[in-house]
Amino acid sequence: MKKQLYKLSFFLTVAVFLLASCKRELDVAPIATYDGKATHTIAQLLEYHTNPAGFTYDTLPKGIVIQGVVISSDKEGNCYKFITIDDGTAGVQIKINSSTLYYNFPLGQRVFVNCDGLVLGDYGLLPQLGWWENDGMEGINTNVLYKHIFKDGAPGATPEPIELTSANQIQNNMYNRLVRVKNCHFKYPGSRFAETTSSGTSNDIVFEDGSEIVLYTSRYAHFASQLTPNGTFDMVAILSRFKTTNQLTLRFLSDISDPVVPPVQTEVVVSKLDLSQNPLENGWTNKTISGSSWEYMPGSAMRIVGAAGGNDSWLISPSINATNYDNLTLSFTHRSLNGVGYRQVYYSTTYTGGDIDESEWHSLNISNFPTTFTAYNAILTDELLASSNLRFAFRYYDNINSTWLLSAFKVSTIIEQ
Amino acid sequence: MKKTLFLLVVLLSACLIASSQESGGKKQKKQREKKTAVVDAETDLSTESYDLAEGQEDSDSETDYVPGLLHSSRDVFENNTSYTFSIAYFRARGYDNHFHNLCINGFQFNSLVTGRATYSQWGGLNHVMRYPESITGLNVSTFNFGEIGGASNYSTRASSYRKQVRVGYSLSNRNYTNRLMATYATGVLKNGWSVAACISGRFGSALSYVDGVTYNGYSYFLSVEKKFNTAHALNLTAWGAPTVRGMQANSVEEAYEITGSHYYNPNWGWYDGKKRNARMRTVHEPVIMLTHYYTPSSKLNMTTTLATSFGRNSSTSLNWYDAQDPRPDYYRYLPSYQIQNGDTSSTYYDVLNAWQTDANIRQINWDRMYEVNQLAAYQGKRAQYMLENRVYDHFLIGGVTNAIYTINEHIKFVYGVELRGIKQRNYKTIADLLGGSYWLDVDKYSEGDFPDDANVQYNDLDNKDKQLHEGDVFGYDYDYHIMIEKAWAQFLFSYNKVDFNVGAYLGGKEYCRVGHMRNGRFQDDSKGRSKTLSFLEYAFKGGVTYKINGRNYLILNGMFEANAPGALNCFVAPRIRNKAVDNLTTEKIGSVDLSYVMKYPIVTMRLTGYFTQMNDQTKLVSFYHDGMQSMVNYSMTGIDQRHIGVELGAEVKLGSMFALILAGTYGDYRYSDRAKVTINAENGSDFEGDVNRTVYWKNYHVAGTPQAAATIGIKFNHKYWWVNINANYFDKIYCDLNPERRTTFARGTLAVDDPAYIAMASQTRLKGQFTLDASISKSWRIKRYTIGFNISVTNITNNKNLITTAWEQYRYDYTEYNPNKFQNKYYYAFGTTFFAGLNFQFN
Repeated sequence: MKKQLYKLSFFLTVAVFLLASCKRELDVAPIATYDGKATHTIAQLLEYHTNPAGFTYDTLPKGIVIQGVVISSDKEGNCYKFITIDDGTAGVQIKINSSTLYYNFPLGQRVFVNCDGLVLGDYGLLPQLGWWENDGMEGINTNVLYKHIFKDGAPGATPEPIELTSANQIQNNMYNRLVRVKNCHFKYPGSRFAETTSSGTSNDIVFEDGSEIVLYTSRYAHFASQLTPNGTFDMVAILSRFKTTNQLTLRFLSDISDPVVPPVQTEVVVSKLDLSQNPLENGWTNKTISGSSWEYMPGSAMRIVGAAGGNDSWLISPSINATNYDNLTLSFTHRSLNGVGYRQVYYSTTYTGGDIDESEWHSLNISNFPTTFTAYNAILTDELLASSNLRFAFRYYDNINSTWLLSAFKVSTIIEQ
Repeated sequence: MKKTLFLLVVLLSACLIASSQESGGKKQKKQREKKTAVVDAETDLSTESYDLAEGQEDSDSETDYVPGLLHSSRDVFENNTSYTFSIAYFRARGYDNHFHNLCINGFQFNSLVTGRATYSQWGGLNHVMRYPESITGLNVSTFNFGEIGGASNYSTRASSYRKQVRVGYSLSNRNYTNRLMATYATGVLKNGWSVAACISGRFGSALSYVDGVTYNGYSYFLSVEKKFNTAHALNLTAWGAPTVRGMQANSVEEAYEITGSHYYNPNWGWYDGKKRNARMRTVHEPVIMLTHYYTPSSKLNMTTTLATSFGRNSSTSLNWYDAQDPRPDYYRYLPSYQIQNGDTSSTYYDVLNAWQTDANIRQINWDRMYEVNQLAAYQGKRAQYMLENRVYDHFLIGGVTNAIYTINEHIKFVYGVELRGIKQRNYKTIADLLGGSYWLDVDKYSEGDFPDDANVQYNDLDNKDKQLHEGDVFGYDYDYHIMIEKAWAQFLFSYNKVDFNVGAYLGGKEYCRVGHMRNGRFQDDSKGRSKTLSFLEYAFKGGVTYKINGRNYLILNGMFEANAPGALNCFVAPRIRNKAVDNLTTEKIGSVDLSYVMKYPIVTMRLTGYFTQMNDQTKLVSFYHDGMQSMVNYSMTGIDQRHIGVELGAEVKLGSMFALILAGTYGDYRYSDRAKVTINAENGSDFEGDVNRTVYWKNYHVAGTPQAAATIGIKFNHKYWWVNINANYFDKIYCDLNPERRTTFARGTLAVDDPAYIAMASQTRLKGQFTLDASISKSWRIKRYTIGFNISVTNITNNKNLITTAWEQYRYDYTEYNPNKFQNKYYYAFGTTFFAGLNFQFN
């Protein structure tokens, strides 16, 4: 009996000890949800705003509840004391007297808004919900916010932005909603998003079709001092307005996609015909197999005047090192007089001087031999051209005494930076 | 986990000790009679010559912590832990102090307003207020029905003090530096009279760890008894302890780190070349008690006490209007706040540097407040700063009769009746205008919120434009009128193998608020008498002791009680409104404990497991709510707690001079269910509306005490030398919760794994800490003269990292969820402290 009592006391003690030692799961406050339903869509709510003059407001009937998803964020300081919600039918701005709202009302947060006690007004015709004080719309005090705005569940995705390719597509039900402006660019890239001298700055944005819209940025935006980028981009922003001027409000700088900036192209001249002095004495070669030869016309051109009875004369460029260049462009101007016989332009990577026939020549198809100086440009894509011994040759092969003039010979390439 | 195992090993060791003692019990049986006599004699000597708890009274934090529920108890657990655990603000079984009934001559001294015993009423009277009769936990008591946290009873009967003249001086670096005490007792004179008197003074704070605190306290005590005959004796006792103290306030960890001290005290600042404390507490609440002892026969022992207490408890505090917050550690003045606002790092370092180098930054800047006020006075404007005095004047009167009637050798009938009533007036006065010319009594939070109703801002609408000066009442002014009626009875049965008892208690409590000011926010609900709130209290209690043999006992106790909620929690805004909290109900508490007790000459041990469930508790707190931007009264109902744990106390004699002490407890105190809360804004534009929320804190820990504590020690006793050495460990110390952080409002739509949610909802557990204590005492007796000294050194290793009190601020950043904006507040236990006393006594 005694031993049993000892055992019992031992057992109970250990049991209590273990009971006191075991871990227990801590309580978790449930996520905020709203039990009721929306009575009106935002579009229906906005119909109550019959005095969109900017200096008055409309009281709302009792019992109106709307819902929507938060699409605004003051995280980067460009939205100030408001949230904007969108329910798919329209959007509305809710003014709140607090300067940091993005923690409590993150993007994608669905909220229900009990409009009892709130008024519907506007600022420059942009619809707003809030309080009317001191002859203007004011934010709802945060101490009563819990009576008006109810969060519902975890934040989700924001509504897909409405795509705009032209300012002319803007319609009334798009205000206070997200839009994606496609392929636009800043009219004046390199400007500050917002100047320090005024509360906000308007930067013009040009659509693909040339129509324009204003991007209005607060001086308190974290990116105010950044410069507007060059190039075309897509941008997601909240569509707003000030009176008849449509505006965009950028939430985050990252809502501007990486701009596509036309690259800066620089021409690199690999070789050119310098006519300020006799090319034949500076690397160019004349190879006359029969008839006339190429001659230097100081300062203006190289010329060959065919002799009656037959000519075959080559004007060969110096060796060009083209190993480091792609897409060489051959350009020259030429002119043919007194009839056109056979003329051809070649390139070779094997010619090292001497007999022409011992080298391999590739002809360029040139069919036009105008009688006035005309430019010829051709991008040469043959991989063979990437040679350290590239030469071009102009062959005059004719049996009449016509003339071929050549100037502005240039072998070049474009480098993009 | 290792620590948990350690505690488990301690418990198992105790069980092994138990079984080994049983087998060895027969050998020791022969020695029992002789040894028992020796032990008793030694125990008497110990209590005469040395009191471990000397110098521990009046712990001076603002939490009103009262050290050790039981002093000088013979219970082996309580006796070895009440002092050693007090450094960590240990509370037995995690109970609040109001779950312990503290009586003097049978008259209960738990405040009718707070429920807690106010030890400061007899601070400094250690010579005469000692060795109470103490009851542990649910055990049966004969002077009071008892509570789940036990009960204790001091006797001030003049004849109980033996004839003596005693003078003592003590030096300490704890709450005060010097203490002088003198006691005179006649013993029982031939004519039946007995007189005992004591005076003491406690003063100085030069050795304190805390800057800016002061202590100046005096105490007096007189007890006169006339024994008329064997049946009747009458005793009159009066005492008081007028005390003025400059208080310490807690602060945030950041302030402690910057100042390099865990004892940084934001309450003081330099003024006129001296340290001036803004929180001065002045207390003088004398008690007069008349006790009748009636013993007509050996069968009846009846004690009747009539008592009254009155006086004032007040504390000063800074107040300001339309001016910068004068508290140096206000969150906006901390370096971390500069970072939070995105300021440049240079601002952070500027502020940090100012904190480190400028006493007028890290402490109160009195000069600036005077400057602002003097300028305002010069311009004919009101003062912007002032020192207010929060005053509590009380008048208590009551009577109690307790009796023990022996029906026969097996049965005793114990009963009592009690009636107490208190009127406590709570108000504020202007203590010092700090150079200003006058004050206007408007609520700074309400002004401007109600442009259409200017009356709202006035605290005293009937004197709304009155210019107030020093000594004038302002802010709030109201009484609590509280009555309590009690009757209780217990039957105690004692048989060879079993003792058992059953008892019941029936009582009533009535609360009424009487407002003396018509407040502008609640014009129809602030002045005059509230409706009376009445509560029926009852309790049942029982216990059985199975005597396995003369050395081993199994004790099972149980109690169920329904208590009225505390008066402080019954009105939604007691300072300004008569409105009572909705759905008030009695708090229901059920508790059981099972103990195995072993009493051998060599080994004394108690091993107890306990389980307590508290339901429907109520709590009211007031604070500035950052979400609602208003002062709010936060009324919580349905607070349920579960306290489970084990206690072990063991003392093993090692030869004739040494004893090994082993004591520990491992508890688990949690909120067992969700609570309801009603928030009522005291001002702000929405003050009329109540907001109801649920607090999701089930299984969070109840704070306020280490939930695990252990001590191992050695006692030495030889030729009136007493030496004690104890190593102590404290763990499972939790930060007290801000319930609002565990509501759906606070969570919003944060994901559970969102760092912001984790930071907001998790409960801080503080690091376990070790301390080491030692004490020595010695007394010499030469004929009629006894001289003795005692020195106790606490926390010898100078551990300054033991957090005794920790709580989350009620303010929280619900906008940006920045957990560092309103940081936790902590009190740290002092490093090494000493208490040295010298006593001279003759009779």
